[in-house]
Amino acid sequence: MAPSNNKETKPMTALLNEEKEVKLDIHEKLLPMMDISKDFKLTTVHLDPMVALKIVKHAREQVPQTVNGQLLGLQVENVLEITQSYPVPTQMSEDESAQYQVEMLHLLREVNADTDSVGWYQSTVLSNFLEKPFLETQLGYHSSLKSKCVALVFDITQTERGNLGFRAYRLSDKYLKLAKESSNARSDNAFTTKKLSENKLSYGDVLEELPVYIKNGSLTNVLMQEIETTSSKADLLEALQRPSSFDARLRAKKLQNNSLDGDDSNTFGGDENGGLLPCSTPFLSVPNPNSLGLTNNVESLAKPLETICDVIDEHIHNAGQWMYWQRGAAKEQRRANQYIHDIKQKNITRANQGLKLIPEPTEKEIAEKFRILPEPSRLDALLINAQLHELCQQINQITGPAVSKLYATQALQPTSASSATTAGTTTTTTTTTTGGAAAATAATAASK
Amino acid sequence: MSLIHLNLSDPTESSNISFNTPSALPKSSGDDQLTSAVNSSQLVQHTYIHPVVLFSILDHYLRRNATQDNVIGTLLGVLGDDGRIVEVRSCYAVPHYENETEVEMDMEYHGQMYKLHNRVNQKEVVVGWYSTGLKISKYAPLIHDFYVKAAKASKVPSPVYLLVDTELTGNKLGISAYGSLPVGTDKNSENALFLPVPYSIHYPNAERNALDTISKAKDDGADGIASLVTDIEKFEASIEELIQMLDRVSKYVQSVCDGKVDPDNAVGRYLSDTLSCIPKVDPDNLDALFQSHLQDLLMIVYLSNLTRVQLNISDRLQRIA
Repeated sequence: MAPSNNKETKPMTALLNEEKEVKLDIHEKLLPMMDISKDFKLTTVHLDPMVALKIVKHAREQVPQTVNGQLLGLQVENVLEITQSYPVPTQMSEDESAQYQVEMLHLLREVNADTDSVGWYQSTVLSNFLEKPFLETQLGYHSSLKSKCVALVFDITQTERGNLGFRAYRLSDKYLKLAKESSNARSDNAFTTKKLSENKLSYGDVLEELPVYIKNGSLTNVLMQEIETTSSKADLLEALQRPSSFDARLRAKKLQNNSLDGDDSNTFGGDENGGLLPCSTPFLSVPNPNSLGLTNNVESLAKPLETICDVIDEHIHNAGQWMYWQRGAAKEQRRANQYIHDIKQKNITRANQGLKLIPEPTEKEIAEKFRILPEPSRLDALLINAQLHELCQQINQITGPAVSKLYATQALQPTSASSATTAGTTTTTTTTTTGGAAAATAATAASK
Repeated sequence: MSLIHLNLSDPTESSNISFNTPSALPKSSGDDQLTSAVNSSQLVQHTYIHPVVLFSILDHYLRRNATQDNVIGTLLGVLGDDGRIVEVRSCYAVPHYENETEVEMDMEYHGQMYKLHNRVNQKEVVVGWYSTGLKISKYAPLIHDFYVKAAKASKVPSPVYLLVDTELTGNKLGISAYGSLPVGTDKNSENALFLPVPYSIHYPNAERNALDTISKAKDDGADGIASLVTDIEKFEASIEELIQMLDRVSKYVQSVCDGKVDPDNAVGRYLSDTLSCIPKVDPDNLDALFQSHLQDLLMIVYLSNLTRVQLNISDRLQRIA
């Protein structure tokens, strides 16, 4: 804190620094936040496990509809901490929704929850979220909350597949600049090919992704410990006490749930019809059965492929429209050029003959005479490309493990013929490793 | 009558029971009334708790007022099997105030929050309440009585009381669930007997996978932070765990074969069951299946990569133009 000579133009920071000296009981971590003159750019998102589970629950119960809700939290320097969330009902008018949110915030404040809005969340099936409404909502948040807000996208399909799928996005500066231009200029469209290439905005950088971390509190850690130890012990005991029956089919099914490749999401994944079934997937500290399951290989690929086909159709349609515009515009442009050229030619002959010259047409006259349509917005095309890119990437994400699993299955099969159990297990181990490694290399090569 | 006696005489369970009747149990006069009360209010047989509930309770406890020792809140969920099975799906905090002599609960808050919850999820009804603390507080019957009335509105015969020990007594986070029965001759709501109800934590697939990551944050993240990983990384981790397990099992089997460790029949049976799970498939058949599946997969990868390349090219072309 440098002493400033001019008292009147003292910067805000200095004022705050003075206050710091007085109020020493402010927690160190909070000091940077009080300094309003500094503008921290968000770099990471910390997600509270409770919020993660709340969103998971909300999204899971409404599948296949997508859901959304509000995120509440705090920004500490470059980190956005999301500590609370609440779902927003889907079918509501705007007034009702606003009323709902005001009430909810009011009630949450009473129990000391963080009530600063830091963004919103949306669930998605197949990462197919990148659409115009998404951008518009985020733009709305951006204008009201400045930079400190994120859109948290939760991928329920990925999560069901075995991997928690949260991603945090925010609009890129390039996109914001263009979006502002297009809202300022009333009718003029900012998303033209020229503008896009001037601003170097490509499908990859409409959104900026922020890394998401799960951050546990110490009590949460204790709870996790409790859940893991008690339930795994109880489950083990139960499993060992189970009578060994020779009803092979039933046993196999039961065991599949507990061992490596059991994925019976149908049993209670839907959850629509009450879902009061006893828990069939115990939470053990074993490899996740969902991520090792074979069944979802094909199923989880079919859907993205279908979506890709749809998106490609859209893309073709969009490209067709653009080509149509381009042809029309080029034709008109040619006619306009021809017209100007004709007048010039006439003027030359007239000048030779010593006649009065025809005034050359102004641009306005040309625009009136010839209808050169403005270029349609390229935003759609941009988003379609981004969607395609996202989907392709997702397919690679699925196929990588799928290929490895396939090799693992193959490795398992011949050994089933051999009768020695010990030998069988060990061979399985080695073959799985080699098979898995080979497949993994293949997969990485493929993704490159 | 007999039911109550049974539970009271059990020394292991008596610590869990808060017996709030001021006078001793009447010997014979209240017999009929008691049995009818026991029959009419079915006790919950089992409670399934979703993990999000426990996390919310802990969060609420962390955010309590400085003067407060305990927090309470409402549990929401669904009923099954005529109300004898309760599935607790979510919860919310309710402000309350208590001291040595009285307890106050914000019932209006409860009502408003329930209304808001109802707009998002109509299926979930009030199924009980939670509080933190080591043991059932003396105000529990009063609060429970309120929730009995609130639950009656949603046709829940007997609400559940979930007690979470946030003081970490005995180095563990004790979680227990209770149902209550009226006790005594007079119908005073304070006379209640809390009986432990078995509970288990219910993990739908999606939640289970989320907990995997949360557990990772606990184990190897600095400051309890874990990053989210891609599918293939996650898969790799799972495979590694699996290999470790196989190693452990084969080591065990080897040492049993060598006679170093006494064989355990249960483990052996379990192992043989696991091995018998592998379906027998004709090798030729399998080979054909394997090849076709692999080709499908590789084709998809090829096509998706091709699409990406095309996208990239079109993007670059646009920039040049």
